[in-house]
Amino acid sequence: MAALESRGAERRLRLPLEALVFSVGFSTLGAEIAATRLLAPFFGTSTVIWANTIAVVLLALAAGYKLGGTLADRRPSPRALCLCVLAGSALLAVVPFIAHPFLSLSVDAFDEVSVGAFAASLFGTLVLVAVPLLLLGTVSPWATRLKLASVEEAGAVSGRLYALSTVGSLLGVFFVALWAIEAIGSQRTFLVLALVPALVAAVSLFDLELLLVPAALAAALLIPPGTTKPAADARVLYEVETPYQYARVVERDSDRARMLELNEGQAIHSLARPGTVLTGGYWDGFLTMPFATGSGRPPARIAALGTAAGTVPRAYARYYPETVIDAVDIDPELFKIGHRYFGLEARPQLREHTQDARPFLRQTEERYDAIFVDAYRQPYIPFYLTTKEFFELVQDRLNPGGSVIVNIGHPNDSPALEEAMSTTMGAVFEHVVRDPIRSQNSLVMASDVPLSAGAIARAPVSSDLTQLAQDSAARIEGPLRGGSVFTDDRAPVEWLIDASIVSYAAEENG
Amino acid sequence: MSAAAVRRAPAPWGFVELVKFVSGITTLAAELAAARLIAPAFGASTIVWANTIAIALAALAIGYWLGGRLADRHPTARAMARGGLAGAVMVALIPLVAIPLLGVTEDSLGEFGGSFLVQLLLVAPPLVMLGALTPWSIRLRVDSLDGAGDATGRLYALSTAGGLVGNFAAALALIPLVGTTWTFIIAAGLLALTCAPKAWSSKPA
Repeated sequence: MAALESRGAERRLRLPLEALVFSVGFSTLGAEIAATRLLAPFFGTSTVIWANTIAVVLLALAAGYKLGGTLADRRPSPRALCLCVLAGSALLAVVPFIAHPFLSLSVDAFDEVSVGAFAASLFGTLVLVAVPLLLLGTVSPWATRLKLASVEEAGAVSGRLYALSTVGSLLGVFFVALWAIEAIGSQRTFLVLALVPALVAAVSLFDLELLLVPAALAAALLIPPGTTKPAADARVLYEVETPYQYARVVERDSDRARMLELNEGQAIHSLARPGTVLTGGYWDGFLTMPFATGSGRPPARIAALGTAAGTVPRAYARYYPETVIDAVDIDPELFKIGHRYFGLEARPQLREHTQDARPFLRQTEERYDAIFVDAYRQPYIPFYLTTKEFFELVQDRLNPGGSVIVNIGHPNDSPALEEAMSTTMGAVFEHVVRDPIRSQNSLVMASDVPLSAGAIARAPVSSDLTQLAQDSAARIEGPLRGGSVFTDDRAPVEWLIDASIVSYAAEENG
Repeated sequence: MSAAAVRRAPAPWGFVELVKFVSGITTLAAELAAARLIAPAFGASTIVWANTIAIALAALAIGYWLGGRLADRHPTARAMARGGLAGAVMVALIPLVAIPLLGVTEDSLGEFGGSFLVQLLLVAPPLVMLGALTPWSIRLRVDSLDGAGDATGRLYALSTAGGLVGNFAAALALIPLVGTTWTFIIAAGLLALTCAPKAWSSKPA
């Protein structure tokens, strides 16, 4: 009986139920990706944030499935299902508008290291996303129930609907990650994700009043999005969503220094001070440390893996203009930012490659005197740039007497990552030394020729760099010991850094 | 089907639920481990990521569609258990086949072609099998139209909960502690152990 009712009812819909299932699949997984991109400028993309996002999204969907099944048996009516989709869509559309007060709270929380405010901000935003996903999650089992005419076809019907929903999800992920966030920003991305299922539901019912819901969502697309993230004591010169992250250029009011921040901005990826190419930061170390091999001259060819906005190539252009540089960064926007805001000049000795560092190194025919590794996806170094196999590849791409220098961050004063990476480099190269150049960064250098502080101190450098070379020589010491050799199979980079973040947070509240 | 059978409430935690939950764990753990397997050869640029997600979701979609048709033809726990076992074996084979395959492809193919081919040959086949278990479980649990919504919703929820557990177990424990290869083997072993008892049971149901 129920089957006959629901079948008859379905015939009254203007669009097939499959269209609704497909559009909701598009919207739910799209919203999951959009939520991570909405959070990234404020919280970053560390495992802690990622795990919380995934957990909230999947729990909301699981609860939605369960609820949808129960509702379906009680109300096997397509109209009730469409109304539920309209409600879910409307709630999804308001997410970016309500989220901003919550998200801004996190900026102060970072400044004051307040874990409570941080958690409130994170979960406040996640709950905003969870409620519409719960309502949209009801669709799959509900539609299966409506479509089912007999028990004997339960497999085929549920399989077909689930497959359709998954193909919708695939399109949703691609739409958001490959196009929408960069092209139209997160506010309008959420609006489109809400608009698509709302339109299908409203057209299915073809009720004039209900058609107002998608009309209102379409009108909301005209609302201009404001600044993504406000800045204190600094001017935001530029902000952009790139294929990989949220990037912004800020200029500090006090000394007019320009800084490149990515995502939550806890690390500065490039720095330019007015009137000088020196930074006072770890970048300067790349100008003097290569002399430790005792070659007595600057490297003729270098590969800079992870150049961001080009702080190091810019300094090389000034002090070692003959050096040929292969600058590699995965994010194409960062080269553009370098040219526009960080004084990076196009010249024949600078070759820019938009590519992942490891495939670049494998494919290149070039051999280098020095390879610099400064590739981060905050707060992590990509694991495949920390392993024995990676350093063997590096070793193979070096000229005789060449060296590799890696910038290793010490998140929250934990040396664990540097220990493991030094041990890994030591398993491949004969000699390893470290320069603890800043409290939060070390440069670790490896080579098959002996490395000495004296060679840096004696380096024939420009007078601007003499003091830097002396300071670096005074700091050079043997590598940290401890930790295990990282391999492609097992390189727990994220684990070590997460552990240091968690213990730091615990101490702050202890 | 007798009226009594229709009204009997399904056991909340039978074999079908257990397989669905565990296959959710295995699917997500295998997907995460596969990303880890491919990154050293082809990196993690957007194009590689897009390949990974497109092939994984397309394989699952094909599995759902195919599994639904198979389930209606063989609506028995034994057939489902054999499907699960086949999926588990394929997951366990991924790291073994990967070593020679990655060695050949990473030098001869670029990032796009290489990651596409490796993902298609290694990861798509087991995901088709694992996807097929979802409609199969629904077919086995739906014994009346009146309760179809509830049974479907419960199994979807279970599968998603399994995915959540698999995600966390792989990312936070298995990959950092035992490495990528063993993550595949443990995820596969878990599903094989769950399916094996029913795969050769003399009762087809």
